Amino acid sequence: MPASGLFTHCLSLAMLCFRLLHRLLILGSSCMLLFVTACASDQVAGPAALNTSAAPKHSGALTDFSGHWEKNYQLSDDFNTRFQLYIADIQRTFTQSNVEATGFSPAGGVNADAINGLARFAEEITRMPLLDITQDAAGIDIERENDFNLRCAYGELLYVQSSNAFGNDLCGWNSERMVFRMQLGGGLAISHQISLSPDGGQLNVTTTVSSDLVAVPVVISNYYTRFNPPEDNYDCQLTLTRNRVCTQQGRSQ
Amino acid sequence: MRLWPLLLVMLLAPVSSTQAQSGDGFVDVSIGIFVHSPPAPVVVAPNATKTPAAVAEPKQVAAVRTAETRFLPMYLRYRLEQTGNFGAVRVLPVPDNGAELKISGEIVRSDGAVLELAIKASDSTGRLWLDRSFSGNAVASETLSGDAIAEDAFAGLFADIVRELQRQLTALSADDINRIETVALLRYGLGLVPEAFSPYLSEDANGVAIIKRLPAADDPILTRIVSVREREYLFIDVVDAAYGQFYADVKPVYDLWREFQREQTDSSAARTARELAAGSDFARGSYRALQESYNNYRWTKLQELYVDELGEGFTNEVEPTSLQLDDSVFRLSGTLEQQYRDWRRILAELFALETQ
Repeated sequence: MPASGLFTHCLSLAMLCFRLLHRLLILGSSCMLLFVTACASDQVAGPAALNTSAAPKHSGALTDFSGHWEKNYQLSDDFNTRFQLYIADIQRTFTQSNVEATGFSPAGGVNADAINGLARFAEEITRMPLLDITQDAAGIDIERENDFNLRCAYGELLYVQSSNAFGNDLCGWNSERMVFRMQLGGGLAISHQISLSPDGGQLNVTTTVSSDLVAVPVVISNYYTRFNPPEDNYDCQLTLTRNRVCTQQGRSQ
Repeated sequence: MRLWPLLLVMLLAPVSSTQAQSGDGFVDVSIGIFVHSPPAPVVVAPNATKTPAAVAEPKQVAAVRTAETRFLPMYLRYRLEQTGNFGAVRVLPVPDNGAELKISGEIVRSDGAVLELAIKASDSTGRLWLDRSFSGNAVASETLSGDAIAEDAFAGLFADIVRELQRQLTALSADDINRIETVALLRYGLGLVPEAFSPYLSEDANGVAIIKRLPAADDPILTRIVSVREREYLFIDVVDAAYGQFYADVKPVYDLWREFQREQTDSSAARTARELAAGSDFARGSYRALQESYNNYRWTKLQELYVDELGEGFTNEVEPTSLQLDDSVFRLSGTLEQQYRDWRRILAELFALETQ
């Protein structure tokens, strides 16, 4: 992409962020990270690569998310309700942008397939009934059922960017929140913002899914409650020559 | 307890003949533990106000890298021994003062599919035998004899290194070899009793040794130096045996790790190329297109996870052996260092007494 095109693209993203700040307060704090990743996404996407050259260091006081978490369906967004609100939001945005003629309009008018597709896709990737989080000073690993682990090897850094053939991602700290932002092919962008309640008993995962064909992103907020899984009587270890080797707790093999 | 009376008896006692004794007409080889090339330096923007922070190496990656620094020199050792053209070949965790031929190695690249090593070899006189990179692709090799040493994915690369060293060796005359042995002994003596050995040896501007004169064959201090060196070899051989055990324990796991890593790299590259070339059949922005985009990305993330699991499996299996080796090396190196200090002090005292 030429430099002028890149600038215009970044500027329009910045405008999108500014708009969303008014509409979706929850998105506001992740806007800077979204901006950084989106602009980075237009750069080279080669084999998996890690870029830490520009990242500053974090403050050192990190929120500890580690533990076992199960979805709290009462507190979490009900998808049908969320979808109704989303459609209303799109209608409002479209009407407003037509009236104001600011240029902030979805490409090619209302694309119903794209809107429905985005909503369906967002619902699919935010099911995640269980989360298993391990975290230390080097990084965080969020194990999700039926999906890849969200991992961030932040070390001393505020954020880490990486890229592979199919997308760019950025993860890091946004104050006390952990943010994962992915910019994928076909204009798809996903961000997960994770925060902890003051008493440490509730975890919030706010997922924002956007497509460059739909003006308003889908935002889904899910809550998780800490739980203690039943004690495992087996201590298992992965090996290369013998696959998984398990021993009974308290007994030698 | 003061050790020096015991050491004094040891120094004055006759030395039993061992295979590693100097002057046997074979060049003994000391191979140092290899090192990994440092990562490429991070480019800092000219106007940057903060230095980029370091990212710690994941534990599973560190375990593989550490194992390689020990495994690869051991493999080179076995290959050199197999030729029968060299003397004793040892792998050492510390620099060898009296090495006849010293080999050091740097692992430039090792990902299961490609291995690149920068090898440097020089003899005691300062002559450079080898200073170049060797690179090779993994080739599954199986021998009719089931020779475990020859059956290595990078056997060809090591054969090249050995061939190059042998080429240098065959170019040497008997006098050259004799000179290498003599200088090695004098250098060893210089490290222990500098005041006694400094008149014998100097170096030119290029670091090549110049023998100014030789001690008498029955020089008592030389006899003691030979005696001390033989005893040091006994310690070194124990460390060397610990490396041998490590090699034997780690080889099946490391071979498997390299094989899995190679398969993963190949299949990953093939799928990525296929997906990128094929493009998408679905309308941009549709549910199917989004799903396809996400699935491709998810697949690469799962591949990363798989590679980490390989590393984790490797670490879990190799860590106990690795710790055992660390412990042996630490204990024996510590003992050797202490012995060396004691020998140096006693020899200096003896030399002072004899020259009074």
